[in-house]
Amino acid sequence: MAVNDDLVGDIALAREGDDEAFGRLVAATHASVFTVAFRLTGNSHDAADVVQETYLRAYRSFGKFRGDAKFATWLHRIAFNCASDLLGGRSRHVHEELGHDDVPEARTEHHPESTVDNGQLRAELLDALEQLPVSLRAVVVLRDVYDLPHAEIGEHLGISTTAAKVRLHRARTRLRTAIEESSPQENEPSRPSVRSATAEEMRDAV
Amino acid sequence: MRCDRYRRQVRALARAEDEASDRVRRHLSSCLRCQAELARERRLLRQLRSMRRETSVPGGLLERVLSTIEESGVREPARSGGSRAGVVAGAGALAGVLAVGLGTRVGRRALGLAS
Repeated sequence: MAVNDDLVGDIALAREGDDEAFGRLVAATHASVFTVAFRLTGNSHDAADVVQETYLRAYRSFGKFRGDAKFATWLHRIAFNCASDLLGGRSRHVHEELGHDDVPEARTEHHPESTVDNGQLRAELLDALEQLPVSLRAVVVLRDVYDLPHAEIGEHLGISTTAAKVRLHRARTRLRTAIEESSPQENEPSRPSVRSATAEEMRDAV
Repeated sequence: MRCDRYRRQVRALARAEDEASDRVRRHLSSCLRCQAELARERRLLRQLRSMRRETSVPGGLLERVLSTIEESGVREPARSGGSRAGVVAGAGALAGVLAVGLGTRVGRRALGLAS
């Protein structure tokens, strides 16, 4: 990310304990961290919470930031963890791990995407992503949007690499289906999403 | 259907996860359906990657983050050591960022980056 170069000076200052420099780092990176959080949680409210928690953790453990990683990448990793904690904590209240097709969020007044002139596919894809249960959305966002390796995705979500691959397969299948159908009224009826992996999924997962 | 046998490889090819075998390539070169599938999968992947592009941030988020940090207190000193004094001296500086910097330096910086 090009932004990293601009940040070098402030990173050095912040390492020395300059809080104002840290503040500038927050200002420079918070949009990108918010985007990560929004993609993972699917709503602005949770995303804002994730952003807060991310910077809190980053601030507390700034001494652990090694200059060899890009600052934005380091922040993203923390955001992945914060989002996983938030979503994981929530799914523990639900019976099955893969179980809850999210009740559509009451939309807040903030629609990050609404101002952007999206292509048709992009708009459909955003819709389709939003419809995915959080556990499926997380894998597809981490893998296909942020390019994380399967093993790391498994670690973030506390599942095996194979399970991560199975979820990814399901998520992609649902995205493809949603995009193909994409007649506006026909939001996928919540089909039972808890089932054991099919033979096809298992084959794809290994 | 022959295509079903190739679909997985065709999609993997779109994601550049696999080298296509000669057999898949031969099939692809003569099968419009699979060519279309390849193109569709590539578009899907491209769109997904483009979602890294920054989305707009709710108003007031930056201020909230900064005040949360401000309230949270002390952090671990940097590993480089010897910066203890710096950490102490830095305490309260975020308040400065909030009080003054938001309107001026940080605010301009954020705007400059957003444009």
